[in-house]
This record gives sequence, C-alpha cells and structure tokens, in this order.
Amino acid sequence: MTDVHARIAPADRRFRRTVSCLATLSLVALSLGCASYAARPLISSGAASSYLEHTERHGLHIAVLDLSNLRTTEKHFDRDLPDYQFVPVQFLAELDSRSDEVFNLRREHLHLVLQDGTRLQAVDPIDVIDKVSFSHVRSFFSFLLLIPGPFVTASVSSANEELESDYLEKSLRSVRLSHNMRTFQGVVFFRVPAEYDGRVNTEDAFVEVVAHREGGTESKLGSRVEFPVHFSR
Amino acid sequence: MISAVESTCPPRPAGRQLLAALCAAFLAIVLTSCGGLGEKEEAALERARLALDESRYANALVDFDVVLETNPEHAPSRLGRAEALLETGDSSTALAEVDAVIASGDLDVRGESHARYVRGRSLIETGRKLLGDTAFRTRGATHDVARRARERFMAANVALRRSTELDPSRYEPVLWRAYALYRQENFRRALELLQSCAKLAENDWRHAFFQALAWDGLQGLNSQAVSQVLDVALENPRVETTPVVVFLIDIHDEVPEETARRIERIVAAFAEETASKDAAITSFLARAEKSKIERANAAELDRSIEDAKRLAAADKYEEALARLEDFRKRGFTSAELDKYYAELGERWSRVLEVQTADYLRRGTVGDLEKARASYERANKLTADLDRQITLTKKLSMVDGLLAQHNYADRLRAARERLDAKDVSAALELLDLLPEASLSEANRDMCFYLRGRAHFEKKAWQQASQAFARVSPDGLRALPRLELWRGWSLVRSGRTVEGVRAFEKTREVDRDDAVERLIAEQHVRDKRFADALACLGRVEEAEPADVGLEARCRHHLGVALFQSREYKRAIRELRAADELYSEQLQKPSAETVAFLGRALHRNGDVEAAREAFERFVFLDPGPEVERRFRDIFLTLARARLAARDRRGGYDALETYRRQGGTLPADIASQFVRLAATFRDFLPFERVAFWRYEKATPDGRESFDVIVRGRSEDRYLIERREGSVTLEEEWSRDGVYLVRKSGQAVFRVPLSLTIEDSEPPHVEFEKDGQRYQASVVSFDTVVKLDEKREYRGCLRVDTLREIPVPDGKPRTIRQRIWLAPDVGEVKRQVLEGQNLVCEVTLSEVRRREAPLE
Repeated sequence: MTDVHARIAPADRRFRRTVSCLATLSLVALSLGCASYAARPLISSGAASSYLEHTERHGLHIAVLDLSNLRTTEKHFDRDLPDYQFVPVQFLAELDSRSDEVFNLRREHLHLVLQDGTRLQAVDPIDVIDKVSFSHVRSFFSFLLLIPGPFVTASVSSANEELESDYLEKSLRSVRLSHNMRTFQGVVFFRVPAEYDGRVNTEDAFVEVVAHREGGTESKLGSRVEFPVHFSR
Repeated sequence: MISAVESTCPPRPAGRQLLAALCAAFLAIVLTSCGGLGEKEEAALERARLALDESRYANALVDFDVVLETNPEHAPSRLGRAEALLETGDSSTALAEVDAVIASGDLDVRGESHARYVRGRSLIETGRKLLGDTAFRTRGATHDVARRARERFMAANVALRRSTELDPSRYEPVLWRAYALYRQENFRRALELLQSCAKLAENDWRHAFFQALAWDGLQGLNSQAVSQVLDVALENPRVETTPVVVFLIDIHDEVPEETARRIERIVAAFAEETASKDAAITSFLARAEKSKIERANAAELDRSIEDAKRLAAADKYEEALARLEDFRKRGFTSAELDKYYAELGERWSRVLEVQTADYLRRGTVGDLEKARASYERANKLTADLDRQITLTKKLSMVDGLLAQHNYADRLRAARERLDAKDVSAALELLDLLPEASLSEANRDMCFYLRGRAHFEKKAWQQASQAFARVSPDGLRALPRLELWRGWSLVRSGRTVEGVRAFEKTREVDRDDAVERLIAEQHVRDKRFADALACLGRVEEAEPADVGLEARCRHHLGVALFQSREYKRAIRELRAADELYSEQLQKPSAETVAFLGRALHRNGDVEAAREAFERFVFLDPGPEVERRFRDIFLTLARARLAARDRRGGYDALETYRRQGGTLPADIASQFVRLAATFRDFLPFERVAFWRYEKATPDGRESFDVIVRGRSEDRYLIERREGSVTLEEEWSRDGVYLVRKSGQAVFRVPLSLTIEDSEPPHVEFEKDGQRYQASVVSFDTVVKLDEKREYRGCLRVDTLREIPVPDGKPRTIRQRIWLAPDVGEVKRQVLEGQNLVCEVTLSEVRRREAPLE
C-alpha cells in the first residue's frame, strides 16, 4: 500500500483528492436527496365485534382504533400525520351475521369529536397524500452536482407513487354493507383545523358515525343511524 | 335522578359526609379569607353553609341571597348559591351562576376545583334533563336529542376533568366524570375512572352502581352488573339509593324470571323501608302486584287448563269450558287460555254437532229444540268460518223443521175438521198455510187434505188438481191418496187418468168398483190377465163383471192362441164360452171360433169340429163369417170326411161366399157338390122370369111367374102373349115334376148326392118317348156382354114323336140352369136344326116370402 502511494505523482494525488471529494460530496448529496417510502400494512385486527369497546346498532358493529400516536403513524404511514394536522383513525365495520339489514357508510359522514367538543371532518386521502408527499425541491440541489440529480428525482417520484398507492389502499372509502359484504375496514383521516393549537389530544375523543339504514320490506324509507364510537385498545 | 335523591335524603354516606365536611371547611376558609362581611352576612353565610351541609337547599339559597344582597360579587356565596340551585334541580341557573363565578377569577385553586365540579354536575343534570337515564339506556331518543345531550356530557367531562386536575383527592368529580363518560358511551374509560373512585372512597356505593351501569353499557346486561346493583340496593336501602332501585326497575323485564322476582322483593322492601313515594317505584310496585296476581292467575289457569284437559278427555266438555270461562269472565286474558279455550270449544262444537244428529233423527219437537240449542252452542264455540256457515245452515234447517212441526199441528187440526165433515173450516185452515215454506211432507199433507176437502164438496176438478200436486214421496206416504185422486178424476170425466191413479193404489185399499174400473181399463189396454186379476178380487160380482170376465178370458184366450199356447188358450176360451153361454146366455161365436181353432191346432179335431159346428150354428153373421171363413173350409173338410156332403157343401159355399178360395184338392169336389145342392130353380126367391124367345118367325117374350105354393107344389103361371097357362111344379128329389094340364114331365135339376151317374130320366107318354138327363155342370152361359152365369147345369131333353110314315120326329132341348136363378137359356133343336132359342131377359126376386 505504501509502495503504491509512493509511485503516484503529486499532481495526480491532487486530482485524485479532488475526485475523491467530489465523489464523497455526490454520495452525501445522493444520500440526502434520495427519497423512499416504507410503511407497514395495517394490522388485520379481526372483525369490529371482536373489540370490546365496539358499538352496535341494528346489527351494525363499529370499532375505531386511534393511529395518531407517533410510533403507530410512522409505522403505518411513514409520516407523523398529526404533525401534518391529520388524525388517522382505523375504522372497522361489520354487519352481524344474523342481520339482514343494509347500511350505507359514507366517509364524509364520519367525524372525530374531541373531548372539548371539536368535531373534525374526515378528508379525502388525496388531500393527505398531497400534503405528505415528498417534495422535488431536494432534487434541485442534486442537479447542482450533475450526477446524482436524475437519481434523486427518480427516487422522489417512486416514493410518492408508493405512498399514494399505500394511502389509497389503506384509506376508507364509502361502503355499502349488506349480506354480500359484511365486514370492511380502512383508515379515515380527520383534518385538524388550522386554528387548533397544539397536538390533538384524542383522550376521551370518539368518532361520531352516521350510517344510513336502507329500507326493508317493512319500512321502505330507511332511517338514519347516529352513534358515538370510542377508541378501542 | 341522583341529584334529586341527594337533595331529599340525609344522612349521606361516609364519603359524602366527608365531602360535605370538606366543602364546609373550604367555604369557612374562603369566607374567612374573604373578609369584609358584616356580622349579619357572616351569620347568614354560616347558616347557609350549615343548611347546605344538611341538604336544606332552600334555606341555603335564602341565606346566600342575604349575603349576596350586600356583597353581590361574593364568590363563595355565589358558588354556594349555584350548588344550592343545582341541588334543588335548577341546573340551568346553577350553570349560569357557576360559569359567572369561574369567569370572575375570584376563586382559589380548591374553590375553582369545586366550581368546576359544580359546573360539571350542572351540565350533567341539564344533559339528563334532555335525555333521561332510562331513555339513554333504551336508546329511546332522537339522534338530535342524543347528540345535544352528549354535548352536555362532553362539556361536563371537560369541567370535571379540570376539577380533578385541580384537586385530585376529591371523589365526587372523578365519580361524576365517570358518569359523564358513561353517558358518552365511553364505557371503558368510565370503568377506569370508577376503579380509581374505589381508591378514594371505598365504601361509597355510587361508583359500584355506576360500574354496573358501565358494564351494562359495555357488554349489555349481564349477571355481574345485575348482581352488583342488587348488592348495592340490598346493602343501602336508603332514599339516595332510589336510582339504583329505579335501574333495577328498568332492567326488571330484561332479567331472568328468578332475578325479576328478586328485584320485586328488593323494590318492595326498599319502598317499605324508605316509605318512598317515587312515582317509578310506586308504579312498578303496582305493576309488580298486578303481575303477581297475573302469575297467580296464570298458575291457577295452568291448573285449570290441566283440569279442563282431564275433563275434556272424559267428554265433560261443558265442565271443562266452564272452568275456563270463569277466567274469561274475570277479564283474565292469556294467549294460552284463548288458544286452549278455542281448541276446546272447537272440539266440543264438533262433538255437539255429532250428538245433534241423534236429536234430528228422532225428530220430535223436544228433540228439535235440543238440536237447535246444540247447534247454537256449537256455532258459538267454533271459530272455523266454514263450520260456522255449515252450522248456521243447520240451524236454519232445524228452525225450518220446528216451523214444520207448527205447520204439522195446523195440518192436524185441518184434518180433524175434515174428519168432522167441517169442510169449510178445514179449507180455511189449509188456505192459511204458506205453501212455499212447508216441508215436502207437510206440503203433501196440505194438498192431500185440500183435495179431500174439495172431494167432499164434490168439486172433482179442484180435488183432482190438489191431489195431483202431492209429490211422489207423498204418494208413497199416503197410499189411499190415489184412491181419492182416482175417484176425483173419474168423476170429473177423466176416467183413464183416474184408473191410472187407481192402479197406483194398494190392492187392499181398492173396492169392487175400483177393481172393475181398473179391469175395464186393463181390457182397453189389452192387459187381460191383469184385468182378470182385478176381477178376481171383486168380492160381489155383478152381471157386468161376468161379461167383463168373459171378454177378458176371450181376449186372453185369443192372445194365447196367437202366441201358440193352445192349451191355455183352450182353457181360457172354454171358460169364456161357458160364461157367455151359461151365465150370460149369450154365446159368443167368436169365442167359439177361437176355441175351435185352438182345439184344432191342439190336435183335438173332433172337439174342434164340434166347436166349429157350434160356430156355424150360432150364425155369427157375414162379418164374423168372413173373419173366420177358414173355419168353414175346415168344417167342410170335416163334414165331407164324415160324408156329410150337404154340410160340406154348405160350409164350402159359405167359405166361398166370404171370399175364400177353394184349394185345388177340393175345388172339383165343390163343383160337383154345387151341382148337387145348389138350387137351380129357386121358386121361393124368384117372383117371375122373363124370357126372350127367338124363332125363325121372330122374337117374342114370355113370362114365367111363381104364383104361389100349395104344400110342396108351386103354382107357375106361363104368360106368353095373350095366352096364359098355369102349371104345377114340384120337386121330387133331384127332379122337377112339371104338370101342365094332364101332362107331367120330369126333368133332373141337379146331380145326385151319391157319386153315381148323372141323373137321367126316361119315360113315355102318349106314345112319345121322353128323355132328360144332366149332361154337364159348372158351365158358363154368357147371354150378352153383361150377363154371364157360372156354375150352370145343362140338362138335355129328347122327345121322340113317332111319325107314322117314317122316322120319328125328334125334338131336342138344351136347357141351362143357373144356380139360384133358374133357367137362363134353352135351345130347341129339331134334328140338328135350331128352331128356337130362349134366353132369360129378366129375373125378379121375390120381395116377400112366398105364401
């Protein structure tokens, strides 16, 4: 090793040092500018009725799980969503096996009611995705070093696609529960108002569920069913 | 609910006593620290504190108002007043008051903690006013109300949480916060807080009660929660545990029977212990008492149903139903009772229906009334619509039968009138009967009696019409009716129909007249055997009966003869002949003829001939002879066989005269017989003969007139022109003896009986020799186109007149004699020359017998 260094000219040595610096800088820029998305799937926690704190109305069992604590939200969404003013809640619905009722559950009819009475509106997951996606600004700096620029841009796009796909897959869509589909679950993102000061405290909070019960043979009109569902553990 | 209990029922539990002491101490500190109060206000504040401590909230309010009158911003008094307002139930005012106190910021930490508690409690109470505990538990509220109530409890939770944060050692805020969470359906969190309550005040019953509520909310009603509440109620039978008792009342209908009974006992004991006037408890106890009675009734009902089943099994349906009916009369309703009552009623209804058939079968008025009662009962007992319809129809039928019994009575009365010959009264009664409503039997009787009445009035037509309306069943039931009907028809001129009616009567009901009429009709109908049977039943025969019987037997015999039953025919015909000949003295040629025929066909030839001879003897007349002309042929054969040629000829002659055609075997014989026995010169029947005489000199006529008879001689006058000759003609066997002056001539006029040569006579007189003989018979003489005579006899005569100088002169005559006419033609020949021909131009029959 010493012999080798001895055979290199000083000019070469400077060149080599320059190249080495540039490479190091590139690697640093690359490592800092590259984006990746890594989130775990939601835990398949079984049916809503399996949770002790679930609420039941007319054969419709609903259970909700608070996913807003830092560890959980980062694990499943790769983001601290409350930090983005979103409260993620896992929503589980189940139609009793003995029930012939049909319920329509719409995402916009779900509210997270905080202990002080503040009612948070469920938002479209696209809004959440837009808010939490990786920014392409980081690739700008990478382009300054020429080489890492395209790699960073590509990694940001790839990570955003993965994020979007994962969020959409996990989020709750409006659903019709009937004997054909008795269980459903998904994540509802509640937007915290901008004026809300501080991190949201979900203690004693609950999700206010409004479901539409379709009319059967006895009552053609159907009815509105509203009830609170508190977080299960 | 709970606050109300707290406001009315001291003493408080240990925890609450401790709390009250703390509150009082706090207030004392606050009041002392506040300072600035006059003596009066301080005394008022002291009284208010004491009153608050002793739950005399109205007094506390008065005293707090005294303080606040002079010190309106006195925070402790305002807080105390808010608490007093809260405890008196004015939670809204209390809330406003306590909010104002909190906003003033005049409270220290403990004071603020208590204020937050009062606020939380006030919010809870307002929330509970919106949605009561029972309605919350049963979810008996609209979404809007539930949400508004929930918002109150959420706010209460915040206030109570703050209170707890300010003073974590206090039991009440934690307890009520747990309650607020319970009302938000956050049962798990409520349970967590209640568990911490136990650490703060272990002996307080309220957190145990709330725990039970939370468990009920979390898991539904379960034995653990119920047991916990029951324990609370049992251990704390005080006024403040009224909510517990009310909760028990709420769940009363959801728990098992045994637990429900236990709840009832606990509530009853509670009410007795506390002398509670709570409306829910009072109402529940009333309901429980009623339920107890109902259970007792149900138990009794069960026993009664068992008894009823036993009785029903022994067919004692009435007793069984009476047992159940007793409950129904007492207003006791039960699905099981109704079901079994209906089932039992249905069974008995069917049994009654079956039993009623016996009553109907007997059919007396009494039985029909029983049947009616049974059907009515059965109809009331059944719930089956089809059976009800059927039973209603049967009831109508029984009513109809009963009505018919009534009609039957009236008919009976009419009959009695009729038997008493009070025809008009009988008819009046009968006219009052509605024909359309009568049963068939009664209607038949009505028509029968009406017919009888008309019959008595000799209104034959109406009588027959009335009788005719009786149905076939009625005719069977009233066998003598046809007699009446028959007579009414016969007497109204409809004999045939009358006899038809008579025929339908029983033989024992008929009298001789009826039998005669039937027999006559049978004869008309050619039912002679039946007619004879009828006549056989006639007890006192009349001549007409004999004649009828003779006719019957005759016709029966004829019918039997025609059906070739000759022996029976002979028997009947012989009987008929006897009746005609002996009893009626009026023999019937026809009967005899048929008898002869039957005998002949039966092989009894001799008897047949005798019968035929009788037939001929009876001279039945041409008509009968023509019908029975074969008899003559048969008889002729018999007679000829017996060598009775004359008789045979007569029979054959009659046979021919009546149109019979002689068979070939007898025709030739007949010709000879005819020539033998026919009268070729009928003096008795002819008045005169006129002849035309043709000679070469011309033609002239002459008459031969039968002038009379003297013994066996006939005086004949021959008138020829102006010459009149008288002669005597007589018969001598087959010869005519003609005496003209002194001359006597003999001429044969027929064949002899014996089968010998034709008659011939020869004699001489005055030297002249005469010969006369029959040369032929059965010849035909045709005088002209219109006159032709058959069966003529030709007699030739020869007269030989001696001529002295030569051959004698012979004069021949050919004479043709027609039977029953006489001489019809004569030819006179001299030698071979016809010199004269005489032909008959006219023959006149005699109108009067010859004298």
